[in-house]
Amino acid sequence: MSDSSHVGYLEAEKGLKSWLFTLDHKRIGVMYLFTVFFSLLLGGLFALLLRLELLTPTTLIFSAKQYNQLFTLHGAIMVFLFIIPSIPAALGNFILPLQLGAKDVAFPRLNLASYYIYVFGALFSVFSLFTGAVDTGWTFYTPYSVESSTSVIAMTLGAFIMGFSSILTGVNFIATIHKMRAPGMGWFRLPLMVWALYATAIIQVLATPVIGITLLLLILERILGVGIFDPTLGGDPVLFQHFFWFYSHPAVYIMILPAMGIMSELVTTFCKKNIFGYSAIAYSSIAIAIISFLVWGHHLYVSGQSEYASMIFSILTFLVGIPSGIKVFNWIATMYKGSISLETPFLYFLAFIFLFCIGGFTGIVLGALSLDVHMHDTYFVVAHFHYVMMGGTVIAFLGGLHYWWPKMFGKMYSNKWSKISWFLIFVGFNWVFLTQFVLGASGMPRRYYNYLDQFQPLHAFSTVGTWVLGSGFLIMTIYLLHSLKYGKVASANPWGGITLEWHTKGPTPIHHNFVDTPQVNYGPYDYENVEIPS
Amino acid sequence: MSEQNHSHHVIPVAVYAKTFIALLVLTALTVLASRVDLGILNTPLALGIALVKMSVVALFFMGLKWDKGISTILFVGAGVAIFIFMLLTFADFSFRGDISAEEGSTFGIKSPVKLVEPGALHHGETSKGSHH
Amino acid sequence: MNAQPIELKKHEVAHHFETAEQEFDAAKIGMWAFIAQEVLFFSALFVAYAVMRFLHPDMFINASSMLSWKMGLFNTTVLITSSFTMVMAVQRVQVNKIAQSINYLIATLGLAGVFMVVKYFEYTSKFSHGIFTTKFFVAEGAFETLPIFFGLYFVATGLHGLHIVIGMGLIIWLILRARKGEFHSEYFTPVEMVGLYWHLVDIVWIFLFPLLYLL
Repeated sequence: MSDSSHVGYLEAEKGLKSWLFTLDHKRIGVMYLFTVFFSLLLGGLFALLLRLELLTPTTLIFSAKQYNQLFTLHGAIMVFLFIIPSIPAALGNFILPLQLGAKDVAFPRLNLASYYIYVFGALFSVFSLFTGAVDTGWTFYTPYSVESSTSVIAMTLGAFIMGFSSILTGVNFIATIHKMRAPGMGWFRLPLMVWALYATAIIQVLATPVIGITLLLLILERILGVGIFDPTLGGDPVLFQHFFWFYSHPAVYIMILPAMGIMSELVTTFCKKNIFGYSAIAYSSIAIAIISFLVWGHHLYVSGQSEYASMIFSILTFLVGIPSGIKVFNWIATMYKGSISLETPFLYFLAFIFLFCIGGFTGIVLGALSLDVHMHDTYFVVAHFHYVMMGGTVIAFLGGLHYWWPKMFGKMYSNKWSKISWFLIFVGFNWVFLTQFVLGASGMPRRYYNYLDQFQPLHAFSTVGTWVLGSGFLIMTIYLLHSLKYGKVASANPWGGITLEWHTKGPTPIHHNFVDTPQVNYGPYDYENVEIPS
Repeated sequence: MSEQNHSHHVIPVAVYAKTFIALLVLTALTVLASRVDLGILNTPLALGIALVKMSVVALFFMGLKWDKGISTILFVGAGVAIFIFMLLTFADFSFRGDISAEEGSTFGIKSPVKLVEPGALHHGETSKGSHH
Repeated sequence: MNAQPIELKKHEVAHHFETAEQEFDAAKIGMWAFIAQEVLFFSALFVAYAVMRFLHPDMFINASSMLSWKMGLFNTTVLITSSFTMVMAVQRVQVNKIAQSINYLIATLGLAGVFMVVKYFEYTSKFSHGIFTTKFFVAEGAFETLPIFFGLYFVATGLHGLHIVIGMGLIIWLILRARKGEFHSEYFTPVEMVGLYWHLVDIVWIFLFPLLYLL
């Protein structure tokens, strides 16, 4: 199979220009990957500093205002610069056309444009660091965000611009999935990652414009005084929360849906077994996308929202548990009698199942109106969404990264160090955030700079956990970068996967992905009929 | 490559001309309806005519009538999303303060914003209001 | 102005598509997805309008009567006519009548210009009466301190106007390319896509007109 004339996409062209003006979805994906990984490290650094401040109940290194700015930046960078583009734009860009058997996405120039729009927006956000970093929290709630003297406009403008990048990626993916499938690939022969990206793209297209207009209205409220959010002008600040969460709750599913897609890929490849309940998993992705638009009010239980609305939102929130549960049960059923190999990506799969279940179940707890009134704005909420966003999305992102790394760069990373780093991240993560469930349940409010002495032991314990977690990420950064130059050359199909990306020849795919357009005759995970490509 | 392969056949000019006339008639209708006081019915009538006009534009000018299903799904899906947005936002605003009677009695408006003195809003005591 | 016939250029299908039909369909799905996002972009303004009208109904009725419905009606007619000329431009290019298509595009551009000029006069007349967004509002009115209506009016019509200006830019781009003979019955994707965008801008106005001027 291996032929000497094979030139991978990385070697096809050389020089900085061949990257900056590339229209190749794989190169754009790689550029996204490095940018979002850098954002992850930056956001992580802010997290370490935050936790350091919380080591003691009183002031340690930062002033109260600096603390507010730090948690705002941590949140805004992690959400807008890292998590939202992480799986769809970085991994999705690389993997989607390959999995479809296509030469590229439907609109390659739009794809490059969306990358530069993202970078442009990210620069605005970073720029806000130097002009009085924002201290409103990443949610920019009015009325404070209308009054704060910090650079709210630069940060929200950045998020507004990055939103367009996300929308254009969604538009591109919808057209790609509809029109670029290889011959024979019907909707029910799509890999489940593609279904997940499709559901994600729907949310990106239908929800993201609302954050765009909301942030624009916030900026206009500050400049022109439109009056709809500012209570001193007769507006209603809770209306901002409705607008904000109409996007930002579905955005949580922009984060978790592609993560679930990666899980379906990992579980089949590392169990060498057809997925259990293909259509149930596919439809549940669409169901999550639809339900995501019905639940935003559960962020407003204690904001002065009408009690009837709270009750409706509480009931609707419970619905999310159904499709999520369907997925988890199907993944576990897939493992049954599979020939499981505990490679690093599969370890991330196992970590995901464990952490996502905790994140999901505590979500049901918080969705219950009666409980949330007590739990709201405590560390319980902080722990919950970190279990979903980090324990879910980031762990899946890392799993996907380790799974597709050899296909992306043609090199293998260190098996030993990747497992050590996985262990440190898994243990460190639970160390930090399980502790915060206890803190929250015992009454520690979130976003507080100083706190009562009785909470110090748990706070200090949580802080020490961040050092373990941080060292895991540090090791990962080192061995991944190391593998780029010194890693062993990977085979074309190191894990024995059978979705189309593993049918490309050579360690990395060629410029137009496939020498001959593949013909699809079986389902994506049909290990009984499809020969594992070598 | 050939023309009939396109999902798209050429629509006669007469169809577009009739659509145009229909839109002008509906515009005249919406203005006339608003000049008559129908009480509570004015708003739903105006919105109803606007919805009809939107459908006419989407079906004929934008060609949804002859287009593939996915275009309609995307367009109608966007409409459904707005409907949900409107409906659930009003689940809040229509019933605000209905359960806790105390809120209504404090200052007589259904608002979560508590004013220390009613009227402070109008007399420039906050920095935002100082230019009035 | 189009004395000599335009020489038509053959369209090359982009490398990653198999057929021209696949290319056209992909563009169309992409455009409809984009239209869906545009609809949602304006949605928050409509929700804000509904909520604010619900909270302050009298203020809205009072403020709405300060707008000239005749100007609004005139602009509505202008925009509907431009939608018609736009769809005709697409229809003409489909039957290879390129010169006629260009004339229809120029007509659309002209009507868009008329719309913006009328808008300019509406804005300046409001400004001269001291009607600005809420914070800077100085006009006399029954609801002196709560003119949120005009805050929304300026934001909604301003964003709509911005879309018109972007659309005008796109139409100029179409005219330039059409003159080079790039569009014909085998390839008219950009004309059709800009047409869809233009109709969407029309649809937004179809709702803004009664809500702002009539009710």
